[in-house]
Amino acid sequence: MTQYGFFIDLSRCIGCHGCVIACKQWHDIQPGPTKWMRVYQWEKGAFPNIDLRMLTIPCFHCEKPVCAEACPNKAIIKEEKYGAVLVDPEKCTGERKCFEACPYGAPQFENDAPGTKMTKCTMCFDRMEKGDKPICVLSCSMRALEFGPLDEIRKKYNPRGLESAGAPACSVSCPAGIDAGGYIKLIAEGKAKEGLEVFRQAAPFAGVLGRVCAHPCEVDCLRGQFDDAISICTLKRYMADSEFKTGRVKAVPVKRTRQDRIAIIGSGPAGLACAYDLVRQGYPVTIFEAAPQTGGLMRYGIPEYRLPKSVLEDEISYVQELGAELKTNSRVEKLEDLFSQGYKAAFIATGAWQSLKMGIPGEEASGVLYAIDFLKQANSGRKVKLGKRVAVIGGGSVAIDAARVAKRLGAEEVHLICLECRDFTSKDRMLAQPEEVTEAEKDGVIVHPCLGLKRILTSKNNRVLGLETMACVSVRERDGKFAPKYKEDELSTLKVGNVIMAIGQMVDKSTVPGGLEHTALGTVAVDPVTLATSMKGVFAGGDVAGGGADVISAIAAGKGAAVSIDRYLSGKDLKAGRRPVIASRSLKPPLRKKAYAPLGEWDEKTAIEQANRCLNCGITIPSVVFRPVDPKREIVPWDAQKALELWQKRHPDSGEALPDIFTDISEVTRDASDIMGRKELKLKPRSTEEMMFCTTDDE
Amino acid sequence: MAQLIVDKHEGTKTVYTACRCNCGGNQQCVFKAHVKDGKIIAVEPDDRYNKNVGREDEVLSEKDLLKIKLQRRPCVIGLQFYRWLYHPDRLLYPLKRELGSERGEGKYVRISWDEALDTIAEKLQGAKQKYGPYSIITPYANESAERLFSHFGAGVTGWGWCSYDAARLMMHMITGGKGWEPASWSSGSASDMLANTKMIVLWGSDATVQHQGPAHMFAWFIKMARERGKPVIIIDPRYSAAAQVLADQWIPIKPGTDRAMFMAMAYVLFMENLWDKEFVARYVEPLGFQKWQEYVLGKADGVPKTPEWAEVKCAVPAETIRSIARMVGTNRPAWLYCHFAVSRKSDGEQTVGSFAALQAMLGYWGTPGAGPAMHPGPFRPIPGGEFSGWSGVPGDFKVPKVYRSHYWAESVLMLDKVRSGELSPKDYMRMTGWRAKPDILKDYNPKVMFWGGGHKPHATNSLVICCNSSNNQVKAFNRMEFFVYMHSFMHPTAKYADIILPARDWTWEEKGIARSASYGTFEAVNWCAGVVDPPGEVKSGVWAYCKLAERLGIDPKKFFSYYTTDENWESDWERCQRDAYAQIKEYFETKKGVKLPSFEEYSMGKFINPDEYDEKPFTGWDEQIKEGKPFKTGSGKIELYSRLVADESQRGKSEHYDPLGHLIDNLPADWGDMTPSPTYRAMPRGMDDPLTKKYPLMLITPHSRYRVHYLFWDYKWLKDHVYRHRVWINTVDARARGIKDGDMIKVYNDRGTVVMPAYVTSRIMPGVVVLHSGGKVIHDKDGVDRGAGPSTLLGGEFNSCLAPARATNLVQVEKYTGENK
Repeated sequence: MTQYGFFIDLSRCIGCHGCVIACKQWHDIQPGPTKWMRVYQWEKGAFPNIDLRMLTIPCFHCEKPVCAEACPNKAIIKEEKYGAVLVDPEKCTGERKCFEACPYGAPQFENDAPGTKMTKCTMCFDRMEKGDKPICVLSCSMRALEFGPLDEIRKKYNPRGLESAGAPACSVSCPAGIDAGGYIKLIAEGKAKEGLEVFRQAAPFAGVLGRVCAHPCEVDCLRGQFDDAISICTLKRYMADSEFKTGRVKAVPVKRTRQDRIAIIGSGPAGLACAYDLVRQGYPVTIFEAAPQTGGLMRYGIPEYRLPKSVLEDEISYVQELGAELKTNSRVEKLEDLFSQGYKAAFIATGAWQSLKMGIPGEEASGVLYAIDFLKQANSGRKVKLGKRVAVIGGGSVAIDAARVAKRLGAEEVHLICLECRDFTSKDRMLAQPEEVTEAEKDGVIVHPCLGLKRILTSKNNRVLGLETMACVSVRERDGKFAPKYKEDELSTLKVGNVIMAIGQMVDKSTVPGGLEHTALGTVAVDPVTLATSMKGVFAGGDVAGGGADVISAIAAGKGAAVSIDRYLSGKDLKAGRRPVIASRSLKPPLRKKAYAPLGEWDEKTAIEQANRCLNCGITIPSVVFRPVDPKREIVPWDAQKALELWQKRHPDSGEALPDIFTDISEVTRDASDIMGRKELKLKPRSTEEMMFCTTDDE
Repeated sequence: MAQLIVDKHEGTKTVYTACRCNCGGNQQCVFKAHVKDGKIIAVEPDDRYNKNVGREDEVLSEKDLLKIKLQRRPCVIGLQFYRWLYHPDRLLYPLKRELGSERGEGKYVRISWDEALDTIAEKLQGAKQKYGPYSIITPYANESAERLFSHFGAGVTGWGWCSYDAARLMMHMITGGKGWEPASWSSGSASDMLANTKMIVLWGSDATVQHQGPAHMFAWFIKMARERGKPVIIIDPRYSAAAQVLADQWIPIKPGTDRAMFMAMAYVLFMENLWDKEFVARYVEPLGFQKWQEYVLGKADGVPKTPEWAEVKCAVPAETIRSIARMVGTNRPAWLYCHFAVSRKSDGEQTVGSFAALQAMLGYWGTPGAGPAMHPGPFRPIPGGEFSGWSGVPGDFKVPKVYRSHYWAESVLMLDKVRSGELSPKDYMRMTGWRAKPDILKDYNPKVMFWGGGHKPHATNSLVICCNSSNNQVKAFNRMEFFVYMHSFMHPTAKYADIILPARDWTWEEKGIARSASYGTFEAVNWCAGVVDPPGEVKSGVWAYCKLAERLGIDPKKFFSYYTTDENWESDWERCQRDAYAQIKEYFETKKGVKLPSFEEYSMGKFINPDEYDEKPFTGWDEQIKEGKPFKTGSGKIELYSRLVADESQRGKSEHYDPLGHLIDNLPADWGDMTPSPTYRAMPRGMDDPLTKKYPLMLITPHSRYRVHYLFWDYKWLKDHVYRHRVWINTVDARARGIKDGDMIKVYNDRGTVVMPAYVTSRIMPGVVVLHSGGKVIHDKDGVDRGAGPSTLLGGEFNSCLAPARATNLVQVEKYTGENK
């Protein structure tokens, strides 16, 4: 069988229903709620952020049709030539089990009467048999649709090469390959505890990731292609929190079944994730941590308000309870020592702790701090003295953290200055997540985008007095290469007492055991697939080996190293069947929209509701690829506030005073979902009446 | 598994044919119809190019894409059009109003063609004798009726019947190209846009709704341009589907104020020296340009038209206007496009004129990639005119044009006031668009309404749309002693007729060359194959005219020169089409040096795609700009100032001619308060009119995707199936009135009242409500229109009648508490 499938380009869909009518007339389906091809329409937001959404959707002819499984009469079959999912009207008794099972609303019913037989999209089987494509595909006047063998469709249209067929997008785009679908389904069923167990098959850090993960999984979420993505990150936090609140039962230690001792150097996310996987395979594992406390960047880099130490410590304890040995204040200088102590393999995950410098005048002045040192000090509970006015330089998460910590430490004015812009759809966007920036602003941080630092102004005795900045017109080349361009003549100054540099970190070689090859950038040289270093039996990953600079990428590296170490110790081929752990990942666009419910802490009701929005694509494996709507761009400056002020007034030629069009601008921009109609996507309307309401246009 | 699927299309005959339902894409879409047992059972979209390809742009070379080697896929309307043929409202036999029934009740009895035609002939002759030659009226400038009248020696007609009349008038005034000769002034094409433009700015245009080519192909071309990185800005009070899908940026503007924005853009171009002086010196007549410059810079009236001046009018911030002006001036060429909507308002001609001036300043006339100067093209001088097909000769009687078509009802009703002395003839003539000799007024005595589709049975114009006040039309119908109507369907207007004639459907039942009209951004010469035989006693509209002519003592040949006998009707008709095709073939073979298919091949699906025979995409103005020939104006240049309108001695003349001696078809005897060159004022019945104290909301009535004017209204395949007809109202306006989505609301003003459910949305700006064009007038016992045809609310403004029926008005809205029916 060759599975055929659709490509649906929502960036071209105008919601005209041409495909719907082409289908209905061809298959002679009378006007009514039966729509094998459907176009949903809904809208969100208020002026100026109006969002009109349209979704064109046939049956996905899933590789694993759950409708067929659900049918008590075996009336639904997966046809063997094209992979079309077809229904036998003779066998269908209208029990609607298929409708309940299908996440996509594909089974159609002409009316609500019990026993009404189901009909559905046939993939135009009749046309396929004559060599013609489905009629919907050939009818679209925007040329938004294509159809063909699914492999070809995936290869051609899948966003960012999510080539792996048969896996949910969230797991494919997770650096650590965590299958979110599994635990989300359990949350949806009200089984958060079981969900957490599923999660722990992959990693120990639900509480940590639920707070600080950059969640690339959400970007590729199937639902996110046309609607708000599932907030996988928040669901993870919900699971962890539900357990944390009631108290965790101590983990049962894993029985040691393997003899080969493994040394892990560094107790950050990479080291702990590696230890976690190896301990569970029965290996004796020791983690050496140079610092007085475990956790690495999770402890010293991330502030308490984002990641409470209690949550972190609980999850590290879990790894310990399983049997990993943790040694703090233990720097490993020489790898040879480890091997002579009887360790058979080692994983180096010491991180990147040295701040990058810009090389501009004034950088050596007193009052210049470096973000990672600053955060480490603050997170260790040591006092940091700051002036009243502080500038943080950088547009990533570390910069945001530094700025918010500075504010919390009592700085009266905190300015965040970055080259990048606030438009998160731009190639020049800030690297921090949009919600992080919003939170920082809520804390009172003043964000200055599109500014480059020219020099730090200093006093005679070399104290920081302020900054001189220049306008930044472009940060990256089209291919994503960092190459900032400035308007050198557009200068401004800012008076500050402290400057915190947060433009990135590099590996501090003095913290890495000797004897290994390093790259030109200073990172430990590793094989991208196996993470093997130049020394036999020694692997390295995470920031020390140029990882993804975020927690989930570090976990991915740790897990990858665990596989390599196990294979190494078992005498297996290290590379066979593996993909690079360190993939060159281009800058991903962030989520198109924020999730429905506010992020953060969710109660059970919200969590279940949100988990139920998951379309279970990992279970059904739909034969479809979507392209989402294009983001908006500001071509010319347009101030929405000003536009509304102008809109409010009338200006008759006579000069006569006329009543305003509205009394207050906030009325226009306020949420009006209480009086609006179709505010959300209802893929599975409860009745034919609701179905018609959801799948009609307002001209 | 094949046994689960029944092939419903086994053994069908397939026929290629074009769609003609008078939408903007006019005749460009192509079906492959499946016919079985004399009935159309399904259609497939065109597959003559790129067979079996969904995304055609992915398989075509750039060259072929620009030559539009593309399927002409039909839209959602076209795809179910054939099923409309079998609609219960289909007219099958001639009908006579049931004795004793009221007009509008819709009670009819079947009669024979002979009885119908005899009765009509008798009534026409009776009226001519009893009430004189000016007693038979036909509202629209219907060529068929006009020809019949000219031989009969009685009858009057109207002038202008196009939504874009104001632009047609300006085209004539500015370029000398006659209003009804689009080949002399069409410019801009979608392929030119895609190939050459650097950015796109659209005013009042929703290509995802309007058909400016086959279905939404123009929207697709805009989207492709956007995918190629060309910025797209849409300026519209609605957050339309186009604003969502096609535009990088949406900028809302107060309806009726686009002209202020154009003027402010011109101001910026002048002040920042961004205008094309060389182009202006070479192609623009100096006095007109001077007047424009003086007005924009404020030398004429002391008010410079700065962005700050404009922003309070149009609510587009000055900074935004400046930026757009600079961008379109430096990012050359920019594709500026000002669509029909901006002209269908009071002073609409001024808006079009301002746009033409702006395009001239930018040197964009005739520049590849710079968009149309005023009216979208392309329209090449292919023989056959805008509507091709058949011919006859006019008679001796000069049929006077006594009203602007859209004002025919006002012309009937206001006559009373003229007779009673309440209204001066001068005012009457200005208000109704008189364009005949003044002395005819005393003999103008409308008693018989003769309304027939003629060559265009789908005449979608009727009382429900495109008119000033539906209620006035009903009143005017009831003043008629006799009313005859011809159509394919029981049109709402038909219900007021005394005799109804059933005409063939133009798309499916009649053979004919389907030459695209000039409203699109693509061009085609397609063929309607006459796919099925008409049902019942349905006849060709032209045949009905011939038979009526006979009864009136006129040789049918004078009406339709190919006519021989009834028996030969079909072959006579085909002969006419063959001759028309021969002319087209000759044009291409001599002008383009290409061999065209034979008539047989052509009519079997080898339709003509004019883009294929051109080396470069169509831009327009080649003769004038590239070849240096003069414009057809007095000066030979683009004339932004009308000496004719400036000359008060011309006012009141029944007909006006341009300096080359051509009749200016869209200019009435009295042009009201039109100024000789563009000026701005707050739009009467617009958002800044003091009348807003009473009616605070501005109604706009854009086209629907799912109807062509009235056509396809009462149709279960579309209404409440894929769309809902509701009144769009902003959340602020709804909240202030306690209205929630779906509530029944009453929309009213001094013209009428409609009741409809509300669509509460942020997609329309506050202070504006939207009711889509078309619909049906369904009066309840209180005279409230339950069909919510927007024309019920239009009209009431008589400063001039240059713009056709205005598509906007002021209204008030309240929650409807009355009985729900």
